[in-house]
Amino acid sequence: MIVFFSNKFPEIEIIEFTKNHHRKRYAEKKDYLLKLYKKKNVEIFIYNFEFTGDIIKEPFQKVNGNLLKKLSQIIPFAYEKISILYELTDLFYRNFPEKKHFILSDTGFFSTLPEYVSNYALPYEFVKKKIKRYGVSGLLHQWVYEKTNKTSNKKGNKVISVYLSDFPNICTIKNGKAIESSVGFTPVEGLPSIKTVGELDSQIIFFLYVCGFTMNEIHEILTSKSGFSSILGKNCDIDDVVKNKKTRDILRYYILKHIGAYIGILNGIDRIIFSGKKNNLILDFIKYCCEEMNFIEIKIKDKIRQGEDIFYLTDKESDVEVCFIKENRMEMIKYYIEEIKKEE
Amino acid sequence: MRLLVFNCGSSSLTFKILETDGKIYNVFLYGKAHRVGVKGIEESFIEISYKDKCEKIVTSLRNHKESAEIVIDFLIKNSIKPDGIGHRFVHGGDYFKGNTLIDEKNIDTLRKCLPLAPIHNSISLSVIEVCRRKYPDVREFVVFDNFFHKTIPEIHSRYLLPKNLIEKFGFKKYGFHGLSYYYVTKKIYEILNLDIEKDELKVVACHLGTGGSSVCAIKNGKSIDTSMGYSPNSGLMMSTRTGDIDPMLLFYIMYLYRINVEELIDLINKKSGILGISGFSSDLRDVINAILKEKKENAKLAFEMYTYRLKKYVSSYIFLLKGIDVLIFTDDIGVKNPLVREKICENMDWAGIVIDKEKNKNINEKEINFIHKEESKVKIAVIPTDEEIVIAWEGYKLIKEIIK
Repeated sequence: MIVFFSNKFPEIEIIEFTKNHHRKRYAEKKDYLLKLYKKKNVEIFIYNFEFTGDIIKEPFQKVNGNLLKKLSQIIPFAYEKISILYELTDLFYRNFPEKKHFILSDTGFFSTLPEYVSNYALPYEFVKKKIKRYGVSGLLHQWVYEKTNKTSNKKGNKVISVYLSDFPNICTIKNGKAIESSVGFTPVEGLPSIKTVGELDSQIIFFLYVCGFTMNEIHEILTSKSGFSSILGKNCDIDDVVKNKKTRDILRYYILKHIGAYIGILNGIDRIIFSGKKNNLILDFIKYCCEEMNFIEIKIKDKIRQGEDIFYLTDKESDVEVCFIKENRMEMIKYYIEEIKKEE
Repeated sequence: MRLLVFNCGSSSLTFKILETDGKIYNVFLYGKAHRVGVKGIEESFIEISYKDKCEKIVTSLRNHKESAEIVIDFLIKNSIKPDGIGHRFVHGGDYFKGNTLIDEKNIDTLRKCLPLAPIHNSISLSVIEVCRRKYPDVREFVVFDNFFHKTIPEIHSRYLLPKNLIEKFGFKKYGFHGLSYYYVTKKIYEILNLDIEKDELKVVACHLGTGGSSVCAIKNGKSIDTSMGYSPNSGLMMSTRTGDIDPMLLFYIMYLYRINVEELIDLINKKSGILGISGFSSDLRDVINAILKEKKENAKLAFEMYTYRLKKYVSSYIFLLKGIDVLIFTDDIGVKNPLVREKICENMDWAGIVIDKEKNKNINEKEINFIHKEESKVKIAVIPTDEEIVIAWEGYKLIKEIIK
């Protein structure tokens, strides 16, 4: 059995993979989990960290004491994202020293961002303190990239990956390595999400403060009361965003702006990968985005044959490939399990 | 009519006296205070060109107020009195409907605008106050830098903040350097023999100043997007300003390093940008010199960060415009730094941009230059800006109205 843990603050999500099936459960108490897995025959424990700072430079890394010590130092950077999982990893690593333990990192893929990309233009002392851009959803972006490399006949040296979810974000891949991400130190930077503000002039924060808002109140406004739900006036998801004319246009504006910037730094583009839920709303939205990209020789097929989980929207003659990959978390985790096994 | 025009940059003060009959504008006197408040290697100084002579006053210039006092004392000493004094005012928010004469009532409204652009609005106001004191009987007027961007569509200018906050405080992307963008747009239409009211043209313009810098996407003469936002703080990396930054980072810096809001405001407005990364100067010219000669640590990094971010903005606007006809570089850094232009234009054949490196190195900084190769689909123009003449154009209309 292989056991996969991830953070669903304040709970821990557990997925048990056996030969032919998987089982998902949730727990809050680590001691309970310790007792549970003492009784089971586990081959590998995998811990999916959303943030590992610049400590882990690959999608996954084998756990050892030194790694745990380093990770403990970055907990204040992303407390809600990693504190529970860190405690669990530490507990299991000490209690099951004979087992294999791996950390799957969502930021490891972005360790290849050049310094002039990842730095903020703050005094250099902050750069030394590791205040920089770390990206997000690295596991997904790498997975979709590898998947399209296997299915496409064209070269994929210059690739942009657009993740259409409640937390949309975009990543740029050159020769297999991430060189840009729309996300920064936190996932709030970049594209707006359902509840977070996205791009914002920092002076607005100070203006609100001068007007009497506390920093805690402003924090809450930017992370829970903004984003697309502030326009739609209700709790919503990505389907609602692409259904409404105004929010659809705003999301498209942000996506096009980022794609344009990334094509500029790549000096061209071979492939644009969209990933997310597979439904007609999302697919219509992707076509709506592509309509604005005709001038870079994107030729969308008249009739698109939708495959199960991956299909191409462009003609064979199109200079730039556009494809869609259905988000499938289980398949993605299995992909990384196989990669870990290969490394073993 | 003789109009004195002041144009405060974040680290410079440009001034001109223009004589006009409403059609022709002749420069009677002009000059510039350089490195105002700059902590750098070279000393600050004021140049004044008048009657075919150029006087250079090398002195410490702690702020814009001090610089304006020196300029006005020079004018008074030479018995020069203007009929009107105009000022570029960076951010009028939604407080003003148009450019305006200054009176007792609206000077308080200008004061209300200070938090909108703390660096720029306060220095402009300090110069306005010097003029009121030195020339109490001369009418002053303000020309707003954000008005050119009123055509930006809501989809591009909206922040995704709660509706009630947007309505209460007017949060949106206002954009700046509007006078400069208006001038270079007018010039490019003129030189290409096009009609700004009728002819289609896709332009990306880069206003690269020694203090602040921005990029603007201009479609058929109208701004459709720009890199600066609610304040001149966002967008490109600037001399001492961060430019775009993860908004949540401010909270983390406060929490992790125990600094208060006032210190944070100071940090991201005055200690970041080129100064923050290079560690020795806020002036990109010093940074370039350091790369070429002294090989100072972090000079290369500061330059790479500056040009990388600029290239991203230029590319994203080309994409939004669905192509580009003309790429314009203007203002001090844009006109006087071939290295910056070369860096932005290299490897841009995806957009049809091909720079002629020789032409780029050998431009006449006082004229309009084209620096693209013949095979380039896109024209690359270097245009020295003239924000002061735009202020004078507007000022003439305002002053003439009260003379009537």
